[in-house]
Amino acid sequence: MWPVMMVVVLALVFGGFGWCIKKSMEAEERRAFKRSK
Amino acid sequence: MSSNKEQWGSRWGLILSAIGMAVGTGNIWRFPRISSANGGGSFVFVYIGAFILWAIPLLMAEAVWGKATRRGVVGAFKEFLGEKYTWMGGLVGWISYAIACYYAVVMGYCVRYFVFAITGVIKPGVDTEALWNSFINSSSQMMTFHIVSMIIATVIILRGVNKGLELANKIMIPALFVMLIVLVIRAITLPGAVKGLEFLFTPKLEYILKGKTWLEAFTQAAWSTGAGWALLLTYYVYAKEDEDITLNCTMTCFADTTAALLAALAVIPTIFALSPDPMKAVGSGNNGLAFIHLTKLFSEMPGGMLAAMIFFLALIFAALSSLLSMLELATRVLIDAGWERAKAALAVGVVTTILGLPSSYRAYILENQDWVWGVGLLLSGMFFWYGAIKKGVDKLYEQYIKPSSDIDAPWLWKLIYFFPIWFFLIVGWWMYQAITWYPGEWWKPFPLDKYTYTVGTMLFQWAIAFVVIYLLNDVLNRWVKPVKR
Repeated sequence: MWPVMMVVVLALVFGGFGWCIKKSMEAEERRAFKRSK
Repeated sequence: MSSNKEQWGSRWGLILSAIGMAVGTGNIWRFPRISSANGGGSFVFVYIGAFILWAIPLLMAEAVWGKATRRGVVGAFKEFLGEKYTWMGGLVGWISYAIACYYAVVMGYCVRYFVFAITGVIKPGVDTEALWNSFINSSSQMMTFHIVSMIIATVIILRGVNKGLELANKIMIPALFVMLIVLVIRAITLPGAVKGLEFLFTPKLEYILKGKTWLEAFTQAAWSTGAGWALLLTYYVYAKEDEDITLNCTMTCFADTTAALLAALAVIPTIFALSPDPMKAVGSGNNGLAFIHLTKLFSEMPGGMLAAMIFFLALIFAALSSLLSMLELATRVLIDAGWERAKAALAVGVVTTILGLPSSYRAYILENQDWVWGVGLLLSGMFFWYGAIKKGVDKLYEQYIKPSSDIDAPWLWKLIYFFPIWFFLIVGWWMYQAITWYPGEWWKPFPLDKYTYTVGTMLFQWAIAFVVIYLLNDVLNRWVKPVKR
């Protein structure tokens, strides 16, 4: 059972961090596009 | 007039510095112990709940204060809440600064052990307990490495926001994550490491329903993320006008938890693979775990010298990136008073070195200060809560958070309404615990002996700080110069 728990915990924490990075990169792209216009 | 010419070069400069502020030695040597003692993987679920409820709203409040006022903690409270409340900023700033004074000594421990690692002292057969005792009882060594740590930190602060803080964090934080990943790979490839993973991740869902698990998670979240210390406030003084708040604060908390979880994945499997008594090692306290038990395991494992170097360098980076934010807090307060950065940074460097000397001279002084101000920083959050309520939670969201927000999650900010509930639960629990340790003597204002501290010791030092700073309110008001925008 513990491998399932490990996968869930790692997915939650690392996934959360990854999601934040992705959203930040997208936001910065939007800002750069706005500035270039 | 003080000026605000300095600004982060990029969003990632701010984010990496904020992550550096949050990720400290506690992620590496406290989280693995606390999580494994409170349900392992189950604890992580509770911990995520705790950082959402406690840390994210407080970090957002700090970011609002910094971005709105463009002043360090003292000036921010003055401008945001009015001159009657400047002392609140003074008290919040003092608590974080008092922590910096002994945190530099803690970084000195890490530097000393890194030197031990690269000079081959950590080798098979070394008595790590004797090594630790000889170091901790050597005032000259303790002071030397405290001073070395302060010199490194002061040089970075002297270089300013872009060439100092931003550059240092852009190097240190990615390197820290890479080092933690390397340590995880080494740990989980050790024969028997799977026992550690099993111990860490066996579902113990009953822990989720235990009050103690939640209290430990809240306490860890409060200490680990740096929420309420005014460190992120200081960093947001240098943020761009359109800088996001909600996503950056959420990312800081997730990054902090990622670092802590990586540390747990490196530390716990190593202990279970190599230690004859893993539970003793896990329960041996922060210093015992890092400097006695893990050091012993490094001395005996294949490739241990390299692992020890990486581990202690990771600890140095974690400590330094947090220490920098505390020193920048104090430096910014002086800049707000009209000082040039060079003069302010040097003054902070010299004074912090001097104030840290007692903690480096005797370890029990450091432990006393950690007891007093480590718990004291929980108080700081209440001042941010009070300010948010006074100014209007909804109004602050509309004015400062929503216009530049990259994710639309007002509920994260509105959780600040509930902050006093968590505050009184955690502080009440700490007080109750400490009172039961020394019934009949808990109120005594002076330590019972070198390593025995009471609630009275804590309240006594808090009261001195409060009275002095409250009486200095008018002086602080005159001292903080109007900002030139």
